[in-house]
Amino acid sequence: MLPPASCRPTRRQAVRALGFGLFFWLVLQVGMIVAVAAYPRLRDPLYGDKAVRLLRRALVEPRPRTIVMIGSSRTGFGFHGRRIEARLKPIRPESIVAYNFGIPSSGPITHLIYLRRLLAAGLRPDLLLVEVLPPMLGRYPGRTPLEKLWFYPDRMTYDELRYLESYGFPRSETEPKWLHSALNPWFSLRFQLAGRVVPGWIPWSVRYDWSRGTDESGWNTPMRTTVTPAEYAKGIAQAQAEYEIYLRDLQPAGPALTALTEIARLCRENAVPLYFVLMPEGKDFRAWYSPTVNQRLRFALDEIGRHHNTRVIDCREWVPDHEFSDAHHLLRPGAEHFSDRMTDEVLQPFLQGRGLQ
Amino acid sequence: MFFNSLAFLVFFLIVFTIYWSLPYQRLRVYLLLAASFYFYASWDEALAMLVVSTTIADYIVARCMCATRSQELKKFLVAFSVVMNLGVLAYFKYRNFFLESLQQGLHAIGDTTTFEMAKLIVPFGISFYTFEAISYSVDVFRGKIKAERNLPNFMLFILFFPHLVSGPIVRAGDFLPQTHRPKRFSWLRMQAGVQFFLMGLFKKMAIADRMAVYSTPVFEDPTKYSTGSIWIALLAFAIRIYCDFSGYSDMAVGCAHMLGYKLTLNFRMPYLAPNVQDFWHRWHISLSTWLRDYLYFPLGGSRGSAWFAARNTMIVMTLGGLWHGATWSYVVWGVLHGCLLVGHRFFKEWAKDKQQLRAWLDTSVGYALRMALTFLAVMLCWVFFQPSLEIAVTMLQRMFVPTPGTEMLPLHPRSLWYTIAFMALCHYIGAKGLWKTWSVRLPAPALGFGYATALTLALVLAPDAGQAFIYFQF
Repeated sequence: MLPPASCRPTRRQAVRALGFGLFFWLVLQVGMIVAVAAYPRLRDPLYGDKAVRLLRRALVEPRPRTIVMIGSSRTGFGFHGRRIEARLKPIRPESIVAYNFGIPSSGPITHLIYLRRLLAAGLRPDLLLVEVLPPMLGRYPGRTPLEKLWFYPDRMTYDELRYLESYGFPRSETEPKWLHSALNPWFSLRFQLAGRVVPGWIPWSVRYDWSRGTDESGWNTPMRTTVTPAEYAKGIAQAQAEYEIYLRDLQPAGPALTALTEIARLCRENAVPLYFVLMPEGKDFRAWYSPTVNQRLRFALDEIGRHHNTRVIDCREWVPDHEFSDAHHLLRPGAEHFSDRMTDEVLQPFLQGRGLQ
Repeated sequence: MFFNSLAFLVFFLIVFTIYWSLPYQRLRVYLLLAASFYFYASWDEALAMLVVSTTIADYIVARCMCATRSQELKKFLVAFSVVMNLGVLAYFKYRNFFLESLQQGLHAIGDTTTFEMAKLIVPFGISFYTFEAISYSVDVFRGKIKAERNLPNFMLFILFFPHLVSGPIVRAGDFLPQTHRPKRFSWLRMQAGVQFFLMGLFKKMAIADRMAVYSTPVFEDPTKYSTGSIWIALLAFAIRIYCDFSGYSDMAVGCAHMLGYKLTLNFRMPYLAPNVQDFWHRWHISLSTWLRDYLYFPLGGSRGSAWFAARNTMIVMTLGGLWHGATWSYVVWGVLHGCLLVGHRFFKEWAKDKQQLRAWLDTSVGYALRMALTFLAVMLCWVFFQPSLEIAVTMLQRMFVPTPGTEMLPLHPRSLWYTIAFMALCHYIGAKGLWKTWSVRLPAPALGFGYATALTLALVLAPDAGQAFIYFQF
């Protein structure tokens, strides 16, 4: 029942209103902190949305044979899981799940975190493919690991933050950001939240809906089938600005390489067969590697393989230039081309037991 | 340190806590002075010293004015104060503009003289505190107020951090008496302050910054956008500038309330104005009343022929435009508003004896039409409310000549329509006086929940990077 209209504001009402304001504010904050702890998908929808779909498909009885490819946006656009499943069906009658776990702006360290999460969730893929994004593997003054450029502590749990300390992410840098997001979650996680509830209200670049808009196999279907020469040139120029400087004298070393090694160790420990994949690249992109750099790259990956029984699939020359949007992200025909060849040359032999010969 | 930053929140909480813990009013004034200096110096220490220096100079000049009986000396002193304040403003803000304009003029007549442009940082809020200082000196000269004897009190009048960088432009007659009154903490004022602050924060973070996502790319390069996109961007800009500036003013008023000071309200729902004259009674009230009292009236106001009043209006609005920014685009903006005001005056004069027309204009349909027309006119003028005349012309060309564009706006227009609907609802609530009733009659838990929700929504709806307040640059 409302008081009569003639009544005047009172001190008591002001104190109570402010007190209740503070109380509700704290309730909302604590509520969100608890919700984020209970549903990590709120914190890291890029991982969470793909993981939920993968685990829903893979952890059923009878267990399907599961092939997962973890990688960056290159994988996201390139690994066409449904096509692979359909292509494998005539050869392997049992249920097969080929799942694309490509997450943009991620590298070996992020992939390691994601693998740990998937293993902790009970997933044991029959084959794990891990994309190797060569520029990420180097050691660069002030920028090691390179993933620092895209790393968001708010997507990690506190334990993961501690774990990452040995991978070049000192807690003095990551902890304040993490604490800020943990204590003020409505603001720090606003894009994750708004991107889920009202995506049209925020610019596409901060929507965190990359993993929500995929098909059942996690594939981020490229919107286009072709690009104009001008668009292609613009794409290459951007890729050049982003990566050439790192590829010119790449020396695989440091935390990113350690993370790859750790991925291999984890896989061996959990009896998960592992292939490293160098994703397709256009001629212009490949020209930025010198022969020496190619040798160093090959040597570093072979070295891991020798110790942990892994293989390297070099797909860099698999796809013609016109099937890229920018010499390293595949268009739809490129994704089909790459997935078909991957199925025929790698997955089929593996499933037929000829894989790790 | 912007009002909508975590740094300001921490700063304000510290100041607030110490302020109300101090037992003496004098100490509180000193604390506010120190806090205000720190607030300004957090941007630039040297410029903070500049503000302090001119403030002390104004204090001394006013004291001398009060001390002397010679009218001639008083005139000299007030002229000195005005010239000094305007001189500093002109040097920092208008020097390059005048030199550039002179250079272009000379080039046009074949002279190739070039002037060296200075690389100057324009002190934040210089236009605001300059006008406050001038109004003080003129009021002392006119005998409307006595010169303040207490230097810290006077310095607080100019430097008080809530209004220092973007107003409202306070008058000494309103503010200085408050510095003398002993302050007692009041929960009612605290509640009013929190309400104002939250309202301003919501306007800034949830609306103004969001609208900037639509308008900024188009205002930066309109050549990429289609006719429809430019209209949408302009509409978004109209909302943005209102919410940005009134949001800042609300936050300033709210902070001042929490510290026991009352600042003048700067906005009264200006987009509900049925004509442009009324718009200026509702928009940036502290500036429009300043221009009226210290420029329009001294020029003779409307005490003469219609043409004489029109001339004065044009002078005032042109200078008002120039006050906002040192480019020709702002001048054109001022001139356009002057033309609208003059046009309205002539229309009013013409319609004086047309009873039927006036009766129709007073109907709800007529009122809505006038409101829409006023909004459209004001919105079109906003095209010039940015530094480049060239961009303004391009925008107008593309707005009125259907043009295809290649770029899409970064956000779907849906959120713009929802925002407009929300603002219309808020204006309805405000215009009907419902909020005043609710704030008294609603139970405390409902009010508290409203505060918490407003703050949470402001945080959730804030876009990518917080935008600086538009009026900080003036």
